[in-house]
Amino acid sequence: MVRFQNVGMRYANGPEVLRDISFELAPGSFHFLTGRTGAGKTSMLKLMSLSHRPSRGLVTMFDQDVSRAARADLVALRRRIGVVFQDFRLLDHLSAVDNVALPLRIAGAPANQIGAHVRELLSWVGLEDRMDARPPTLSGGEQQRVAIARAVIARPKLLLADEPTGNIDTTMGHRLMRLFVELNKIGTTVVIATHDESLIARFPNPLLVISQGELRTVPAGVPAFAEAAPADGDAGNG
Amino acid sequence: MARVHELRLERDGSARTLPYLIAVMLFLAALAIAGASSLHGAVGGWQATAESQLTVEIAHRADADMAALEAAAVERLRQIPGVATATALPEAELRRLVSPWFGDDEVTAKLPLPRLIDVRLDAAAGLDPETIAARLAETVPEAHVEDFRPWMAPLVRFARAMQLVALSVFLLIAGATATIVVFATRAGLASQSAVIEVLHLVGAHDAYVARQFERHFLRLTIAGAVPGLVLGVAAALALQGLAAQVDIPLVSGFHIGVAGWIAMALAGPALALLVVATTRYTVISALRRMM
Repeated sequence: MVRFQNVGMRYANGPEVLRDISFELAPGSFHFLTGRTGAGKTSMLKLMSLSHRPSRGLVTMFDQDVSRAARADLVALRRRIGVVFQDFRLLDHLSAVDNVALPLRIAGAPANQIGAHVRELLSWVGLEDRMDARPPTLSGGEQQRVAIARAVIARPKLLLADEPTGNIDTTMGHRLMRLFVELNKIGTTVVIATHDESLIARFPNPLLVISQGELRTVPAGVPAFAEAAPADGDAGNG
Repeated sequence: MARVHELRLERDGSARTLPYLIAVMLFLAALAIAGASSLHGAVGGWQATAESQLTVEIAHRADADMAALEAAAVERLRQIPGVATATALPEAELRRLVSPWFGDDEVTAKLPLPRLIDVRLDAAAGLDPETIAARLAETVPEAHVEDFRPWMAPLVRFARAMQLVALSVFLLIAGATATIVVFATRAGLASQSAVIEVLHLVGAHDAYVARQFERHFLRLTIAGAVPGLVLGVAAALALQGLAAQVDIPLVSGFHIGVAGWIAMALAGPALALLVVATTRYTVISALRRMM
């Protein structure tokens, strides 16, 4: 599903924010990506969401080398990936329904099928009364749920989420985590970036621990931060 | 679901003036086409006249029977293959033509006027004035063939140059429009870069993004093209009407032909096509530089 081999990444001519990253995610696996603020979690997600290319090394996704793939070839791969951004990245002038419908509309799904599907999912995440609301009128938690609904609406093969429960109360956070778990059960590979240790403890899964731009894997149930290096501050956004 | 525009291009101020610029461009284009078309028609008329018409002049000789010379010349001309008609200008008509300069009939009646013969040629025969002069000289050596072509040639050259100027104006309009659209598109790309990144990450092709730019700029183009073209056509019609009132054949011959009106009608769609193509090229080129 996802394989990184000696991957390095830098922004423009800056220092490397990720160094010699090597790991492999099996199809249908569930991982937490964790690390301290600034450790490089967001940069890792940017590579996996095909937002950025690595500076070096080999990134293979869906059995394709995306390090050197043509731009046009990335489109089909991106349609198999759902991303929940930490800053949501909703389109402020569109309603919640239209924001969630975006991946289906772009993929060319028939309009008569999009509406019902989207409304059903928004109801499931507790936004049945806010479907036509625009993001600026929604609370942070409501925006986050819209972002999550947009990420999962097209039934992605790989779901990447950056702090997806950060702005949501515990009950709703666990409800959304169960959504991710259900998606995982039907075959979606899930990677959730978080530094919420209680969340990791409640949903025990293997960890990808990133520290000072380097990554190590930790089996499920082992505390992630017990062995982590001290404060990191070398990476881009997370 | 109603059509959703993810990009908010209408909020980008840099393209707001585009309809006004397009209106000016199409107004100028309509005038350039009107000028080129009417010149084309006029030049064609002048050339046809020069190639199919000439005048034979027999200078007055007091000791000669001018009527007999004229009749002989007309007769000889009519025998030359390629001469369609040869008609002597009646003496009374000649005197009427000079009367504005010489006054009353008594004076003009005494003037030693030349005899003039209007000759029309069959254009398909390709007969040149030199051949006609040589054959006419066999019978009437006093006859002189007046060829219009030498003085018509510079006029035609000037008109052709003006047509090139009109074409250059048209090309400049196209170039200026494309340049304006490139800058407006780049401004739109910059202002919408965050949304474009989201669209890419949820699986949008570059063409999906480009289509929204194309539709936006097409709407702006149509908004400017309609009034610009209407005003341009109105101005061209007014100029043609004014030219028709001028009692000088060279000017009154200015007439916008059918091809000119068709070209004017096509100028709007052509400019719209240029705008859409430029927009698409600019957007796709810029997006290719992203991942």
